[in-house]
Amino acid sequence: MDDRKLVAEVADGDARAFRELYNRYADRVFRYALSLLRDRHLAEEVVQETMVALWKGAGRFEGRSLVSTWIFGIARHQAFRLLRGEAKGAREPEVRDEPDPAPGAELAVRVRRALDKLPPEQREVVVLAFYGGLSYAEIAQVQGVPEGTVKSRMFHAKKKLAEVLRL
Amino acid sequence: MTCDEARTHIPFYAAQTLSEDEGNALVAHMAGCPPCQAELVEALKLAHVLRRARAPRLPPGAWLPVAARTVGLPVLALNVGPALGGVQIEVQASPGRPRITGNLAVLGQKIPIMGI
Repeated sequence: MDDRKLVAEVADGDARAFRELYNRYADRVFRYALSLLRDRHLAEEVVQETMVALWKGAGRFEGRSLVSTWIFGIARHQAFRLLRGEAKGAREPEVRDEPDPAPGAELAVRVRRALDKLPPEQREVVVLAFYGGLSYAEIAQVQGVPEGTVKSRMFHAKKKLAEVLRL
Repeated sequence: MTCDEARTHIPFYAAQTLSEDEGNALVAHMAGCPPCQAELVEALKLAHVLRRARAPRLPPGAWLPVAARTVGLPVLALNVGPALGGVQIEVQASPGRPRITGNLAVLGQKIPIMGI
């Protein structure tokens, strides 16, 4: 079932449709929020607030944008609220390199450090495209900038990442 | 399509988020353009590394507070099987406090036996 139908069913209070949307978006929103906030706990908070806003606001979704851009737009708003310290109990983001014994963790740390070297708006484009699955047109809507700006940000981000990761 | 246009589209092609029409136009351009092919190879290597890097995931319990604030679905169901007479225990998350219920399954019917 496509995302729009699921949102329509969520608007009617369908819990299964809501769980399906959660399954489709929660991890993607988490990665996006983590790239903005660089703090797992704050990123989890963004996911929670975004999903609650989706549940409450599904009836007001008019379908003028894609569901993906709507959800990532909510997440962006929530993340910036936290960055501005507007949320209840807000705290400073922590940048941590926690040891992680899981396979692939070493590469994950390398990639995270490389992403951290990018300007925030470029990092956001990379994460939304590669981890969020958004097109440049959708990213332009989420960031509120022209499509050309998104393409330019990605072009420069790719150059920098290729250099830092020695591709 | 010019090389400048192609190079701004290549990373999105590697991310698999380019539309089919744009992807076809890009491939048509690259077929005769070795410099853009090199750009594509670099972008595909980047995509490969980003995918291989273990992408961070939410902890398994992240659904619980969301469910508690929204749908109040049963978030945990334990079926302890015939050893305890087919008792099924469900934990209900709701906007209030968590609710724990126990049901005895007899001939496909759920008979409530506890509620906390």
